[in-house]
Amino acid sequence: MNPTRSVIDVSELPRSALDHRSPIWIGNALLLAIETTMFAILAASYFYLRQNFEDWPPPQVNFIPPNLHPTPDLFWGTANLVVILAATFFMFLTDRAAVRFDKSKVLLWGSFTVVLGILAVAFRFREFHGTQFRWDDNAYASVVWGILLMHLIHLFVGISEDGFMFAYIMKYGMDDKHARDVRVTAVYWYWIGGIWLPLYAIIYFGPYWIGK
Amino acid sequence: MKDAGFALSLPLLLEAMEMQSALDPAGSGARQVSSLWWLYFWILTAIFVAVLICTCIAIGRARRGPLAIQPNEPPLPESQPTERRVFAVVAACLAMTIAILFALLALDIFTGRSVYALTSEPHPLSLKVIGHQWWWEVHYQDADHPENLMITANEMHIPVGKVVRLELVSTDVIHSFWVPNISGKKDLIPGHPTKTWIKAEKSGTFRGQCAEFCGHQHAHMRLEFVAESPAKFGKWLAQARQNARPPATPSEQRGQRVFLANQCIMCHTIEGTPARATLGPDLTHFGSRTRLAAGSFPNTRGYLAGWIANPQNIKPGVKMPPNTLGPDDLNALVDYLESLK
Amino acid sequence: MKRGELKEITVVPGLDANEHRALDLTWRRKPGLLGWLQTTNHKDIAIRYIVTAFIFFGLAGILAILMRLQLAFPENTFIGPDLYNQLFTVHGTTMMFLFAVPITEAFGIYFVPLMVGTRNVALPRLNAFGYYVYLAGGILLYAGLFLNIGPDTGWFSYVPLAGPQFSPGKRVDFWAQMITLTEIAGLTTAVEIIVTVFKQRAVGMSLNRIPLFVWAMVVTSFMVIFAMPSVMLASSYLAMDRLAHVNTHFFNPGEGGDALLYQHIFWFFGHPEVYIIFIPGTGFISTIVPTFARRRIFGYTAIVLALISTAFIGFGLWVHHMFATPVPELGQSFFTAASMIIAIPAGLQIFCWIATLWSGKPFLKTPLLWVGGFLSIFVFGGLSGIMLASVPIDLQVHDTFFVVAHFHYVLIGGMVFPLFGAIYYWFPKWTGRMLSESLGKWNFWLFFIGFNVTFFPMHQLGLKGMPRRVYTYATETGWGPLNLLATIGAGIIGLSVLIFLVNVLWSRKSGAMAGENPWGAATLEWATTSPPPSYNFLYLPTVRGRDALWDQPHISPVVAGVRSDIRQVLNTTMLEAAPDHLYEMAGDSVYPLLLAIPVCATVIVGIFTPWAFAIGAFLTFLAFIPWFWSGTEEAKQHKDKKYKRTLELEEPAPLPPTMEEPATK
Ligand code: HEA
Ligand code: HEA
Ligand code: HEC
Ligand code: CUA
Ligand SMILES: [Cu+2]
Repeated sequence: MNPTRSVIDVSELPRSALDHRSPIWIGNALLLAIETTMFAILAASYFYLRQNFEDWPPPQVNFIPPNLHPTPDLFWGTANLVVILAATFFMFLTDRAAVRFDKSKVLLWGSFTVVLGILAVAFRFREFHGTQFRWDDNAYASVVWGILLMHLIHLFVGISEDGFMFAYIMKYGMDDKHARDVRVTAVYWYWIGGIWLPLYAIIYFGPYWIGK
Repeated sequence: MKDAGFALSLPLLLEAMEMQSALDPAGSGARQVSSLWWLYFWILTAIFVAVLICTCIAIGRARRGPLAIQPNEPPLPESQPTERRVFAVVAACLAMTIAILFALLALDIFTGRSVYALTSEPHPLSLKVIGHQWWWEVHYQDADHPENLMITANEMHIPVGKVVRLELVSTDVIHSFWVPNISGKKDLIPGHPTKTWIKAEKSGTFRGQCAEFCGHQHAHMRLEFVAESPAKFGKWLAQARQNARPPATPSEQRGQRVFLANQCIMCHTIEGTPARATLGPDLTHFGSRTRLAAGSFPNTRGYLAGWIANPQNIKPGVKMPPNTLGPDDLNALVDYLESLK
Repeated sequence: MKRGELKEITVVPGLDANEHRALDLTWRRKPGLLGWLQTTNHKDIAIRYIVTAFIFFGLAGILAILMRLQLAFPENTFIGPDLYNQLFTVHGTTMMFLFAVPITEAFGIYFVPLMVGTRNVALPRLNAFGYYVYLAGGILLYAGLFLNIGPDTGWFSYVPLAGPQFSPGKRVDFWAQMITLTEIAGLTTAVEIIVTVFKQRAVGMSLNRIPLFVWAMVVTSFMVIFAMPSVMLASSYLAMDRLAHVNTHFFNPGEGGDALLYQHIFWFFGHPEVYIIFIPGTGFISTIVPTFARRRIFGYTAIVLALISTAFIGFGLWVHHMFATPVPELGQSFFTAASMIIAIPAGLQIFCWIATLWSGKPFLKTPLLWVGGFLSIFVFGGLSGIMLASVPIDLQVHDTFFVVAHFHYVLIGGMVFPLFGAIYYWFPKWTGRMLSESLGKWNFWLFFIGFNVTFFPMHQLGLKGMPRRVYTYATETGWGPLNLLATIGAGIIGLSVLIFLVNVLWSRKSGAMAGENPWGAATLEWATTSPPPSYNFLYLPTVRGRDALWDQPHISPVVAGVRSDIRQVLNTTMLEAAPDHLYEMAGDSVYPLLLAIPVCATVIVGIFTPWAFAIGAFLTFLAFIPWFWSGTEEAKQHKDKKYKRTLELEEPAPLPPTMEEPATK
């Protein structure tokens, strides 16, 4: 044993990082990679199943008059897209406030996100209705419902995460950990909004592009 | 050379011509694959032996006995010339690997092409094979007279030397049509009708077997496959197109009555009688088949009586119910079925 | 002093002992059952995984012996079709999902933190959570089997056979939900391993100095992340199609669903899965080989590139499992070519290992024997894989015992042999004692011989037309003698596994003492006591070269200034591993268990009613609250002081000059 030892002193290093240098941030990014893969395969299933139908969506002939091209309701879908993007935008403002440890702004913008998120959930039920199918009508309906539902789950999780965090911050104030948590959740919201763009396009415009 | 291969490498393969073996080809597909296989076999064996020898040498020279290492003993210092030599060898091996792989790929594509060449035959004999849990239904269509459809089960005949196109259909689960001596397999997938082309080059009786797991009796979903001269085949087909032979003896007549009066009629067809159901195999010429219950058992009196009395006994899970015929009825029924040549 | 600067300190006697006490108080698990349920220490969790996975290996092995007994003679009536179908399904499912993947990931959980020189995995609570979910999945599968309603549709449960119409009852649901549970566990593990390696490497362990085992685990984890969602989706589609009142139609051809869609989704996972199993095996080999060859690994960079390219190519050849389905000819050629190209990285690694042994001065110890077994058996299996990659050949041997032979050669050769080698290699680290060498030799040779006796004849059986998954065969096929031989071989393997168990049980108590580094190995896990303390290293080590302990006989300098009274670790930068920031990890807690219970209950009760998902989602939601509702210890301690604000996007501290190049070379 040598009586002296050389050391690197790290005691002065910062106690946490608020960005991609934080382990949680990377962990979250990886979870999002998993979920992105999930959606990619869902979307691939959508296109694969397309091959088994003559018309997409399959015509509903049980009614009079028959609905030959029962496309999903574009109005509610688009309305919800706007709501989801707005929620994401407010999460962006929340994110910026978290960097500055600005508790009141975090709570202010954050509550916008939560409220809009809840609105998005409500609209999502209109979207289900707007598909004009039940999930067990045929494979088309199953996959469309599947995409809407998976994304709905993420909306739920995003809202709940926000809710817990803001409640904690309201009670105990902003600390490093929660500033970072807000930022990580913000990334989650960017993803929730971002992934919905292609999925929205597939669900609502797919029937027009590859319908016949 | 090939026979030498048999003898040298896989002595256990050296047996008489087998009726269910990929390496005893009797069809054009199987023949080409078997040549390709042997080619691959020799190339890959050479690679394996080389790697094995190197491994044995590399490990074989290792020191034995107690491990005389100081804790944290620094490793062998690498000498630059040795490293360069090793590098050269590894790089050469890598280059060879790549070269060999391209050769193998070329061989594969070449053989693939020539196997697929059968598909360009303009006038194949066209059959439809339907897989059921757990038996085979075969349709012999007649292009000119569609109404002249002949349906049989579990035993199919084809003429040697003629390209046969099989349309493969399943209405329940996935099966796979495979007669190893003739050709590779093709799946029968509900919702995805498939096709395969085969050509027998030698006559003989071969065994096919469903190759995709399809539930309880996947093991007993076999097929008698007869490749015979076109003349013989023509005779067989003409005979097979006939209605069932009417019962001749009193016992056979009684058997027919039993058949028509019991549940049998709900599932089976015997052409020329009121039995026209299609849940089970067509029995019109059942007596001429050599095997029973999708190739599972020899078609003998004993097995047949046992089968009818309780199919679940010898093929558990099979989709044919047991029944409670008296011994006389059963006897008569067996007589009748056996007479359906 | 500026942070990140080097300085010399004089070691005061007693200082180390104090540090040790403080660290141990912070990191050790609480006593008793409660402590056991709460622990988030990576070593505790990893040992649990390993023991559990090994029990599953034993169980699946026993099922294999039963199958072999049934197949030993033609027309055997020992086991009927109903049980036989459950046996091979549960055998294959267990070996793939409950043994091969978890046990290698568990080695990662144990050794990655040690090898990169940190105190615990990142996200330790997720790690504890993963284990419970995995265990529940395993129990679910065996509950089915022991009630004689085990799944019976094969380890890939093709639809429509596995669909609601042809498999009524709950059998297949056990399978589907087991998949969901074990994949959740697999995914959490993958995430932790990647984060640990990205953020918690010892100072100086830049990308090109990461030990090869750690590389292998990172690559595997990335494959897990992109492959496993696919099978979770397949199993969820299947479960939804089957569940009464839900009855979706993903795979129902009658309503536009598609049986081939299932095959594509399954194999898009299933093929990467086999490399997820094999790549950690290469990690074991790359660790054992240089140690016993007494030289640095030859071709470090080549091996890393081989791993990465295997991972990429591995996602491009799933269709070679579906050659007998209607796939266009051109597509088939593409997948043939891809399957052959993947032999290049495999071969490259093989050449590098042989070259290392060849140009070293090897020592023959039991771990090296297993390496020899690996090299011969895996290469054989890989070459039969090349045959399968050729479409015409595959159409003959697909779904026959030839394929069964291929995959046991690659699975057992590529993963079980390295695994046994790794156990012999690392057992001293776990327990402080060596495994017996002489029993080890028996263990190896019986396994090697038994293995070849069992599986070599299966090649011939396949060529002679024997399909897989048949519970019996006719006498006149002539398959009897070869099958009997295979059965005898399985018995020999069983004997060998028994000897191994004896060896473990005996050596744990009475083996020779090992000391810190019995093999004179190079990686950091050997720089701490055996077994390692709860906190792994007294001082976090730093690294100067690829072979840490060979490049720096006394690991110095070490890191000072990481607090020992809270669970603080050092985070370093992603590429060059320069000190970046300090990070407080979550401590022991019951939250993982409390979260695992509703998650598992939801999935399991979901077999019976869709309501489980609604209620379960709510309970899961409740169980999640505490994960967010907690601050750090450090924040608590500073309650009324102002927190030290983090500077946004602060430049990482530069690497101290001495760390830049290895001292030797
Ligand atoms: C550890 C697992 C593992 C590994 C590593 C592999 C590796 C390979 N596998 Fe295997 N495979 C399985 C596990 C694995 N497989 C399983 C479980 C199944 C069956 C699933 C089921 O149906 O239940 C399967 C099935 C399977 C099939 C489908 C068979 C069928 O169902 O019909 C095919 C077809 O292409 C295939 C090919 C390959 C190839 C080309 C490789 C290559 O990666 C091999 C590369 C290695 C080498 C080639 C050896 C080393 C190289 C050299 C020494 C260089 C010199 C070599 C040459 C010049 C050729 N495998
Ligand atoms: C890593 C994967 C792995 C491993 C290690 C094994 C190991 C073995 N396998 Fe496995 N096998 C598969 C993966 C694996 N298998 C897969 C994926 C399938 C396909 C399934 C399907 O078709 O769906 C399959 C299918 C399969 C079949 C084909 C079944 C069929 O198609 O009909 C057979 C037949 O012989 C077989 C045999 C064996 C044998 C004898 C062993 C032996 O090596 C086992 C050796 C182990 C032991 C003998 C255990 C000894 C135990 C003790 C001594 C007691 C200890 C007890 C405790 C610890 C509790 N396996
Ligand atoms: C519920 C339907 C059903 C009924 C009723 C039924 N069978 Fe069958 N039968 C089948 C099916 C399905 C098979 C194919 C079984 C198999 O091999 O997997 C079969 C097979 C057979 C075979 C063997 C055919 C061959 O090609 O090998 C014979 C002979 C037979 N049945 C006779 C009878 C007789 C006689 C009766 C009445 C006593 C009867 N069956 C009643 C469904 C039925
Ligand atoms: Cu039909 Cu197997
Ligand atoms: Cu594969």
